[in-house]
Amino acid sequence: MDLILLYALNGLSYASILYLVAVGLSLTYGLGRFLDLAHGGFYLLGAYLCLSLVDSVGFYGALVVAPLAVMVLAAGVERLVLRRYAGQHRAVEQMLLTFGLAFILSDLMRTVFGGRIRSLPAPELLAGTIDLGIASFPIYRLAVILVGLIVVMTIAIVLRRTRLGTMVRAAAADRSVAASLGIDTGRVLGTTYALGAGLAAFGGVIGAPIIATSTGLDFATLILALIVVVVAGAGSAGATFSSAILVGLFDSFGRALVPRLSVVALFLLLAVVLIMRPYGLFARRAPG
Amino acid sequence: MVVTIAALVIGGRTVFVATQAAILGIGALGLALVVARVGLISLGHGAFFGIGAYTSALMARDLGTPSVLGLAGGVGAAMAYGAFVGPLALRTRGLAFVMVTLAFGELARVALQQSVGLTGGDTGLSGIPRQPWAEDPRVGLVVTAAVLLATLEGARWLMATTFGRSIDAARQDESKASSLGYPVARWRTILFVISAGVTGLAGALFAHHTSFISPELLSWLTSGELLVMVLVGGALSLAGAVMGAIGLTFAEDLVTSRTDHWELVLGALLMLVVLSGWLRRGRP
Repeated sequence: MDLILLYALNGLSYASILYLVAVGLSLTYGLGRFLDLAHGGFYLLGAYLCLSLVDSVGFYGALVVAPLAVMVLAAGVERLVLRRYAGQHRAVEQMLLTFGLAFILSDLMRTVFGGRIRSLPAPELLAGTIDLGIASFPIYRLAVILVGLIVVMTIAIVLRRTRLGTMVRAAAADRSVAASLGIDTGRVLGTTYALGAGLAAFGGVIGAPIIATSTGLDFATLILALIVVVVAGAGSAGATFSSAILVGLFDSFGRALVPRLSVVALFLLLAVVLIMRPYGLFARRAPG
Repeated sequence: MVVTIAALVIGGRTVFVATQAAILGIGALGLALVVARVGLISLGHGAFFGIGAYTSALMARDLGTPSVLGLAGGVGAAMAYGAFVGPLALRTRGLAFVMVTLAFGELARVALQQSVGLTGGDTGLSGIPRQPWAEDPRVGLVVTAAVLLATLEGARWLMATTFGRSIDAARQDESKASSLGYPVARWRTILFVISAGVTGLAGALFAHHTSFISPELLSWLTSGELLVMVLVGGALSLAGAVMGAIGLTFAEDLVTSRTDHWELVLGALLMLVVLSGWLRRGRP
């Protein structure tokens, strides 16, 4: 019983991190069928920046600085390169550009930060474990779950209540109508892209004390985030949250129960969901 | 053809690389049948490549079957898995298709990795015999290049038939093509299986070429590599995919023999292909 609780909580803390990476991926894909294959790179860059900054500005400083730095980088790349290739009919160009960017980031990170595996202790204030009555659990992981919930709610409020959120929803629903109403859909997509990259980097920072940081984590994370996105059905932040929980729990229980075959559990989930529901588990309609 | 002759003249290591380029050209051609003709991006063709490689390698090494039979076995096994994956994956479109093919690719990789008794698991298979015609590497290159050309011509012929043309038409307008009475869904599945077979053939040739294979061959990294070759070749052209494969194989050999920053060069190349406008030549 207590083991099941531990697995579930582990799964939920991983779900928080997956959500942070997947939400930007899902929104940019929903907005302009724009698939960002460099998104895992932004996640790993966040983690590496955290490891480098933690000695000078502390973990909490890195929590602010690293995502901002990645956001500036993503905004720059989007403005200078990617925006010129917006539009559904240019999917091949977008894939080549973001895949190219992913390779460049991966190589540069290996050169700058080295190839060894690095881990980070939980930050002060959140170190240690807490007694949950039937089992003890790391406080830091509970905090990660909480942060995930706060981000989910913040994004829901931003999408519902702010001008940017309304423009995002309008552009996602029908891009040509939104454009004809005077919304600069290119800019909306660009802003979402940069914010999504920042969130992925944020996920990298809060993930650094849980997941060992190493070369290759960028593509591994990208694939997991893509699983979250397609299981949810792209474009909806709320569905992405449910889907992240599902994938996080599957991963956690898979690792615990069938350690050598945990990948199989996830890919079986993915295959079964998509074959039964080609547009995702939580999508109400087919994407346009 | 030009590349083959040039490689024969230079000789030595270039012959090895050129043979590899021709093999990957066949692999990319197989993938291009789905990407360029059906219009769906598969990230699971690494599995067909790997299944072809393992089947042919095991038949030749442990059963001692004649090489051509081994190659046929590789193609057959890849087509069989393609016939299982195709109908399921083709229920989806777009990103979902990418992810379903990825899932089945990774499932095949793990299954093969876990069948330690048969495949040796993570240690891989070594000591795979050379093809009898490849005793002289230069003859091996000529044979491989001939297989590549024959496959390319065969694929072109296939796509010029009613079968191929209606799949082409369905890429541009699916409902229109099926309303004309063509069984587009069934034909797409058949093309997917053929595509798996062609990539499986490349895998089978690859196993005897390198004489060592490991389960990594089935991973999405192989799929990604083949996909990049197809996309660099313009994503709509079968010959382009072959050229992309040859170009990238030589580029990789050139770069990795000098620095360990192949990823950086590859990334920059991919972006340059787009930014230079090379990809859009001759398109509206």
